[in-house]
Amino acid sequence: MVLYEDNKAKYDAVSKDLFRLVQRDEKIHDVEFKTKPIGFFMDVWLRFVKNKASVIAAVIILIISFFAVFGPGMNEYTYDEQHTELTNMPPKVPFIAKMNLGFFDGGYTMENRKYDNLNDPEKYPEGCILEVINPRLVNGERIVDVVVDYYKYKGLSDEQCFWFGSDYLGRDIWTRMWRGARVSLIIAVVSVCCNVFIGVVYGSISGYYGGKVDMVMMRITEIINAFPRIVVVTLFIMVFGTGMFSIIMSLVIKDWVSTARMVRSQFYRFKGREYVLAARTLGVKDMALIFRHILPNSIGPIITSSMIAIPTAIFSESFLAYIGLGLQAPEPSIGVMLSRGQKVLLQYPSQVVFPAIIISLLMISFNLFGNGLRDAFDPTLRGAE
Amino acid sequence: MKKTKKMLAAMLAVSTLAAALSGCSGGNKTDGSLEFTEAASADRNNGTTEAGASESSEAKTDPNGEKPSPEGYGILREASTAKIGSLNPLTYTQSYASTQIKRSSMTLYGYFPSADYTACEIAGELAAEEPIQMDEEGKVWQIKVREGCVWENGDTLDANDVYYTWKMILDPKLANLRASNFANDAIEIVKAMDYFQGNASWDEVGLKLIDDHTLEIHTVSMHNPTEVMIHLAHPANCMINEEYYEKGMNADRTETMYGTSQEHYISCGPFLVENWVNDAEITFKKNPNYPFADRIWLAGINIKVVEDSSTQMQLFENGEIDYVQLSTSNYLKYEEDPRVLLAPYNSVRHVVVNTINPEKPILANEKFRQALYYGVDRENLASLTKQDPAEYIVPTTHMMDLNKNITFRDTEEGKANRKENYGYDPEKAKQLFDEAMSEEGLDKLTLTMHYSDTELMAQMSEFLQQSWPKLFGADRFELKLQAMPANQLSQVKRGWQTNPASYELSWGGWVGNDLAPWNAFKYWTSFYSNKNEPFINEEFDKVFNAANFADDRFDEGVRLKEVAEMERLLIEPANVIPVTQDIYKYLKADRLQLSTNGYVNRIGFAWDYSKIIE
Repeated sequence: MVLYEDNKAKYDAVSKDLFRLVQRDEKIHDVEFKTKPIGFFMDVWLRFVKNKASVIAAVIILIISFFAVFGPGMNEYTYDEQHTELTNMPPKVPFIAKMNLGFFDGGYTMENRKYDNLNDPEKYPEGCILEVINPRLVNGERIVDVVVDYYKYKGLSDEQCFWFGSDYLGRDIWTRMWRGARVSLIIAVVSVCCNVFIGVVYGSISGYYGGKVDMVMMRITEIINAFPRIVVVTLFIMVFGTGMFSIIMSLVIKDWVSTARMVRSQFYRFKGREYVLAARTLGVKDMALIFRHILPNSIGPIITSSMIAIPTAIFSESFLAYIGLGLQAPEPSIGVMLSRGQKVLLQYPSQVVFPAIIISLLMISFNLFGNGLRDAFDPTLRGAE
Repeated sequence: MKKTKKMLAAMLAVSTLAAALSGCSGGNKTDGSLEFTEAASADRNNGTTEAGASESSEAKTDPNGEKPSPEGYGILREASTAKIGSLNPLTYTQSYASTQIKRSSMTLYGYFPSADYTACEIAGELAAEEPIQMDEEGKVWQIKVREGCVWENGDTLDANDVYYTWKMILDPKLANLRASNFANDAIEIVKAMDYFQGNASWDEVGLKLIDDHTLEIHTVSMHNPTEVMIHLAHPANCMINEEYYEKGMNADRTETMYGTSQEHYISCGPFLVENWVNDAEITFKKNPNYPFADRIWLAGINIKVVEDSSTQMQLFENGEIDYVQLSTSNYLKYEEDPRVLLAPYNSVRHVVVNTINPEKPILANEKFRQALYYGVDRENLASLTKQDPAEYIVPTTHMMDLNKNITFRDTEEGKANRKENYGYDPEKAKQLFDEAMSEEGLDKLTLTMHYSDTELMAQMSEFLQQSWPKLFGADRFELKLQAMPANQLSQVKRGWQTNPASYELSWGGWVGNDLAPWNAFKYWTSFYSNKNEPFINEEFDKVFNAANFADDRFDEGVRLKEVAEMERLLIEPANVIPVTQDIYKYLKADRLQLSTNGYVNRIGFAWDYSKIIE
């Protein structure tokens, strides 16, 4: 107004014809979007697929999951079928063996063999010896290392083979490994689902009601968190014996605490928002407020933490199996196979290499996948790219 | 550049994997003639010598000389998975500790290699001669103690030390673990157990000190000198030193520090403790004052605690230890190596059956147990685990007559208890199983077998888990496995006394006195408190008592028949199901020369009598 008052003469001098009223006869509205609207999950998806490492990780997880489901049925062996005359067989895949690449051909170096026995066809069937190396005299005896086609050495036909070799009871490692991967994944997924369920319910109630309820509930989590995991596992095994139930329970009993804390913090963040107050004013009940109005805001962090918890659970299961607290024989798991395989690492490396590769891939993939999801769900990154 | 690096990394990963999966490696082809040299062997398997220099194949002279010198020559280097814990002979728990106690202390009698190292002899170590029978009944024995024996610090070692040791073994306040064994094992000492339990005075006990070099023992039953010597040769009866034992004693006289560290221990045996770092390393040096020092070639023994067997194997391959025990997988690698030594173990591994389990009454059914017995393909299992198949319970190491070097299994009675095909008879097993199931009114049976989670036990248990259902029908029989730590398993097995349903099937293996197989059966008598299984049989007890205490037991062939009878009573009704007898496998370095020509019963390879020849 001061501007007009000060320049009154100047403005009054401007002709009114220079002005006209706009939109008096038109409806005023926003311009229609030229693109399709994007929902929350579509937005997450679009940002997720931009992360190449996460996509590759997801594909690897899918492939491993596929083999975990169908792999054990891909050959004629079952996971517990013993071939006591064919123990510790090296890996052999017929079509790779024909390529003469030097691996997956059933070749094996038999160390410290008597040279004088090499011509005995009962010990070394014709054509099984590929190479004789490291000749030496030990206590006057001629000793060599013999590279053999172990399948011929055992008198097997060209068709019969163990793709990834066999173990100390002649069981097929391919079948056992994929069944083990299946078991590891089941343990991980089931334990994580239980953790999420307990953690979400517990954290929601604690975060929503706050005050004394929160204080008591959080102190309980601290007490639970104070138990050493190995003690919890040992107690479960003592009462229920080794097996999937004990392992899942030992993973559930402690791990839901972190989910509960995370959910609680989300509730503290959202429960004071205006829309929640509005809903409460309108008489919406507590449970509906918790699970319908506030919890959906936490869905991103929950999914992300679950994905990151899966490799932790797989690792924990493997660790327990490795220290001898694993599944009941003859059920395999990756950890059980690693535990047995490392004892013969120097003699039969294939028995540890394949399960080690699978667990490494699973761990890396789930971590990368979890990271990708975290970035995709993070609302602060929306539109950042 | 970045792409090239990635390619290189990928190629490296693939080649590493390929190397792991392939048995092929570079080397000579078979087409040319091979040159065999000693040098290759020495570099590869013998490693560096103690002085750090490698020796070529030039002519070697024996550095030990013609006779062992007072200080000996060369250090025997061992690695052990077990820790010693305590060198107190009265309280040790591990058999490995007893080996080290025996190395550094003396018993009245001991086991020695014969002059030609082909057999074992029992003879006086601290005792000057065999026990002297002082009465007609054979219940009073005098023992003369060798003169001139000394402790490491030069103090005299005589009958007073033996008497003090005996008193401490049985001391009621100390409540030593080994007291009951000393009171009553191969011989029963008058009132010894009563004194230990506080029901008699020391004067009443049948142990007397006559003079500085004479002791007297009064026994409950009649015995012969060999039984007395066997009883007194147990490592738990090794001498303890009064000064050190009392110095370590607490005010209540309920515990002593003796044998817990070098500071609280003093040696007198063939070797003296030179350096001891608990749970890590112990070094012994030759005792020049030992009565049989002229048979000990070594200057000392060094033992490192290496718990991981793979690390032990690497130490051996690097030439840092002189022998190593081979695991099954390592044995497969060295199967044809001439340096491999095989030793039968003094125990038969068997399946124990809880016959009083109220939840599985079929376990009390004799036909069912026999079905399990005849259903074990021992030969196949033994070839997997590289053990000996055993359908018997008395191991091949158990001697009936030490002087004649006759084992029980060599005798006609021992052979009569053997079965064709190592007791594996699938048809008979199936028939017995069907009959038992029908008698018990069962269509399907699920049993659980507890086992300690070791590589070997897992393999054996998993073998039975597959083979029994295969034989009896997977739809009719299922075997579940339950692994647990050995200590816990031991409690579970012995828990049948308070909880009859504590287990169904498990594994056992007793290490009995190999010079007294009749005494080794004590583990199955009704009066043995630490039994694994609820086997109580009056007839068995009767035969045991007859074999161990009856007056006619020394008559020709009587005891032999009784041992055979006890074995039959255990096996025929399949109260235990023997499966295998372990074979220990060792790999020995070239620098170590054994005195024995292979395994000798009781003394094994007599490592302490070997020579270092580099």
